[in-house]
Amino acid sequence: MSPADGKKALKQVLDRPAVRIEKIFAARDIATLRATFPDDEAYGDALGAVALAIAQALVNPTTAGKDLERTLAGWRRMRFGPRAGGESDLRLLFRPTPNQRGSAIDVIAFGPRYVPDGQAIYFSVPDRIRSFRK
Amino acid sequence: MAVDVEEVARGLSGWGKFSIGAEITVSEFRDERLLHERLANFRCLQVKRQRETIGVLVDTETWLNLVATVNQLLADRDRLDDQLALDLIALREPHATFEPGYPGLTDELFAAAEEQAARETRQR
Repeated sequence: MSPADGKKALKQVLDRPAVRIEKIFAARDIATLRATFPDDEAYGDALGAVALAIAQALVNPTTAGKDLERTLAGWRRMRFGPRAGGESDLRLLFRPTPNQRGSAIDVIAFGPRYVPDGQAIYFSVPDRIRSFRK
Repeated sequence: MAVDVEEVARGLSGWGKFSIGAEITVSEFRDERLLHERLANFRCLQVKRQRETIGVLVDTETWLNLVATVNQLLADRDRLDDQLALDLIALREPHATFEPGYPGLTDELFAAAEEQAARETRQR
């Protein structure tokens, strides 16, 4: 999939009111995806896979993926790969949120578990996040 | 019986180095007594046709240990994934203001992502 098609797929889910995100985190996660997949085709596939995972989470917000134990807020994680049948190196972290019109989700993170330099993307620094807001 | 992953891993690391005699030929394979004897001695045999190694044969206990080890590693990975996810949520949740999507949001996100990437490249 081309990056443009991947972006288009992501637009179809992220531009919907039923998907709620923190913009700073989502932008950071997209940047990390780009850095992890320098090859355009792989990047496009990864964007498309994230879009598909978000769409699946939206359809079944309380059953998609796996419930994270030891958290009271109902967060769930999904594991999936950029290509069908490939390694499941991508993650989506979300929680179902009440919505009078139907199902809705909060997405707190998506992307590869590890970035090319070996640092887990999971440890994005909150200080850096705060600095973006200033 | 609990699997000692480290012990199995130590055993696995030596798998590329077969002991002298830890092999069986295709023609010897039909000799059940010989097969049992070699497996009892070495637990892991190269199966050879002439000089070519065409496979590896392990005894049942070794195989079961391997299966148990792989299952344990998968379970460990799953627990690690959970922990990583929980750590990230703990880091991000206090700073998050979840906004519903709207037309044009994704374009904004990609523009911000490009800006971030450019900023980081300049900082390097």
